[in-house]
Amino acid sequence: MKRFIAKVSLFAFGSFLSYIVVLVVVGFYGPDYLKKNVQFHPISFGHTHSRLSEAETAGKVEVLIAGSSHAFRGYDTRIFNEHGIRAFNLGTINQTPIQTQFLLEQYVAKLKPDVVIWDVWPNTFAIDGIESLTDLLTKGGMPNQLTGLVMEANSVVAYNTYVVSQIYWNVLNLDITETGKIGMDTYVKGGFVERKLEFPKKTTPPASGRKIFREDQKIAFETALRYLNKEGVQIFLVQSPCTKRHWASFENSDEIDAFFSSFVERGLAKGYLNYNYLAASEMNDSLDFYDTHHLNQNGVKKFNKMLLQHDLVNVRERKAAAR
Amino acid sequence: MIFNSFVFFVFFLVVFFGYWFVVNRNLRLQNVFLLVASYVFYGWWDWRFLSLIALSSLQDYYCGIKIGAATTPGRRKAFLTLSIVTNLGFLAYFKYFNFFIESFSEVLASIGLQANTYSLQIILPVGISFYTFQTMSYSIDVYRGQMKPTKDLLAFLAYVSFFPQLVAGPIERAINLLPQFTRKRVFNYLQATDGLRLILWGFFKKLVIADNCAPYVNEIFNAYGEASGAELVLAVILFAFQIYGDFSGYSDIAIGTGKLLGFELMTNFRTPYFSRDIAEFWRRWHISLSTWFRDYLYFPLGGSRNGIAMTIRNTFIIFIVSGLWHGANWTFIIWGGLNALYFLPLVLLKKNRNNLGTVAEGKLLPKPGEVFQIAMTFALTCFAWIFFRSETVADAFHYIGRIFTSDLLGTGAPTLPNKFMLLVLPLFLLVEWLSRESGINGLAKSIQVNPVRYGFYFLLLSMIGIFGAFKQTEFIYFQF
Repeated sequence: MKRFIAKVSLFAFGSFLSYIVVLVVVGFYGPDYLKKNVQFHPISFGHTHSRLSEAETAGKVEVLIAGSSHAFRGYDTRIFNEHGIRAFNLGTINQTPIQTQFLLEQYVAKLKPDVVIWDVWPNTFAIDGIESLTDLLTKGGMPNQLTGLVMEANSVVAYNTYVVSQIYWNVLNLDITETGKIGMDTYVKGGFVERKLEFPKKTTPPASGRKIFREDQKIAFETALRYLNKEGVQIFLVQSPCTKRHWASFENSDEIDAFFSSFVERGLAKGYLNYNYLAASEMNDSLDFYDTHHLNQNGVKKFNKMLLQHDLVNVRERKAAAR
Repeated sequence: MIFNSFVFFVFFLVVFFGYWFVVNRNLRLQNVFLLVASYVFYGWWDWRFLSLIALSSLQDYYCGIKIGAATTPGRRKAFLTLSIVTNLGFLAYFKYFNFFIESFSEVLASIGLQANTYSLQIILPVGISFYTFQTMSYSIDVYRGQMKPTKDLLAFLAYVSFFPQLVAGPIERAINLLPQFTRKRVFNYLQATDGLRLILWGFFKKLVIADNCAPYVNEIFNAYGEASGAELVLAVILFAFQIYGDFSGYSDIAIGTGKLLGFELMTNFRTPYFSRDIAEFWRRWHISLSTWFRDYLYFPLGGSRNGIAMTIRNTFIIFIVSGLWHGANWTFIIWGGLNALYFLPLVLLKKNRNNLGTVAEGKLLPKPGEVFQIAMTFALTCFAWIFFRSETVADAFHYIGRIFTSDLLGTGAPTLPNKFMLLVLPLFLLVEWLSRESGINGLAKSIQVNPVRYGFYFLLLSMIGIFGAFKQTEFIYFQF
């Protein structure tokens, strides 16, 4: 038995070492189809690295935008600037409340926003957030800070990506050079990503169904709201518009609205604005989107103009008072 | 609790060390420990059904003793009947009640009669088909005088509920497994390392092969109306790998786990997709079930000894019952019937025992004729899998119909599953081919160069970690 335990321990140690080597080789050099459980893609869509690097040095902002691709593709910080509002967009790929909570805790102290606009795309409350977590691990350059989230995610994909990220960022001290233009996307100072104007191709309509929000996402959402309240930041929960047929596919949209409104009623958020209703007459499914749920630049302009008409951030009001 | 879960990993570590370090000096203590561990393992899923296993075990223990002690053939038969009726009664209630009621109702409706039928919300206890067959074989073997009834209740309870093979087999014979509970188990290094190798290979088959084939198979079978002919064919082929990887993977993990505890369980699969005819396939696929039906149903019915008509009848009976064993659905019955049709010509022409050995024994490659035979057998098996996998018989026929009507040989390339499967499947087939004679343990031991052998293990582990599907999907055969 002693021999067995000794040999198994030795084998486990050897396996561990060889596994790390294979992980690193596949993670660094493997083609995407070999990376099923190692989501390490340093150069890919979303411009997360550029955004988080800029966030480190951006300084004080008035409005901070958080959320998924709906955030970084839907809120053009240049339009905010034109309205005299200094904004920063902290949206990342498929960002779920768990990662939003993490990012807010990391960056609110640095960016000192007066207002946070949280784009609450229902899908992100119904998924585990692994895609977003691995995006942050790969491009965020801060795997140590993400250790807790990796453990909570308890997924092989998260563990593998974490190991590769640690070796990339902390052992080999490598960095990412992200170009301003990736595919059809151009990074805009302030975190926004502008996509070359295009219109929806013929796409399969989304399958109808109920969006069931996960308990862990709901907890992270409320915890983040409480954190922002504690920091004295005003919060607006916003749903940027998606196409009408996509919105119609949510069979429990009333339930979704009631969920977000309840946080306003409890005083944890200043307002909840659902532009699937507010912008329904303005938005055209064929002209203002590039797929079923992402605005194209035409849609972004329309939506941002409407959003800023609300003066939801009270920035102008407060600026006037300050003068 | 399923093998591919962290809970099982912790559970097994506790059992392994407790078994060999705490209770290792006393056989009774070892059996108590295994019994408790097995009941915890099963109760993790639903503790209420522990009573069913306990009841089934106690009843067969009692029947075994009574059969052994009976002085008249009538009494012996009466207790055997009690055992069989009770076990089949459990199965009939939990697994087939609604199926029979609904089928009966449909038959009446087809002749214009309206029946007031009702169905019940019955939960199917995991593994019921496996452990009821296991306990029944004990009563039958005692009745036949092939073994003496045990008086060791503890050993018997531990044998019926032995957790490695409790919920998905192999369906052990009492004559093989029960005696292992009545003699002292001593840790054996070689047996344990054989066990670890089987576990590693089993996990590879389950997590890398089966669970990665599953998404593509599910997608195509769930929306076969939208798939091209080539995609429909590809989905069936991948289902063949999925079900093999899933079930034989489970068997390997079960046998390996048994070895780590000092037990030898029977082989359940021997590279069935390299069979040269259907008879050989059934000697290599789910061996513990096919031999069960052979020994306890086919032979008692007369097998192929009483003329052509009886041979045809018996062949259809065992295959249809085998289909029904898999599930209460006409799809399984047709799957069984199809296999009977495949098998019949061989048995009638007395060619069913043509291929008793392994293909290309002692050689690296098969002959072209053998390749053709293997391909034909695989094609026939895949055709039958369509019925096995489809939700309804109508779905299966529509699926087959669409294969030939929706651009089977069109120029459009079919949507393929994940590209890495194109690398993994050939590697899997290569290892299967090389291990067809001596199993994965024989293959590994034949690699004399240590770095190469360990490199093979590391490669398997790495592939599990990098390509494995870790969503803790249940094994397909749990539902049976």
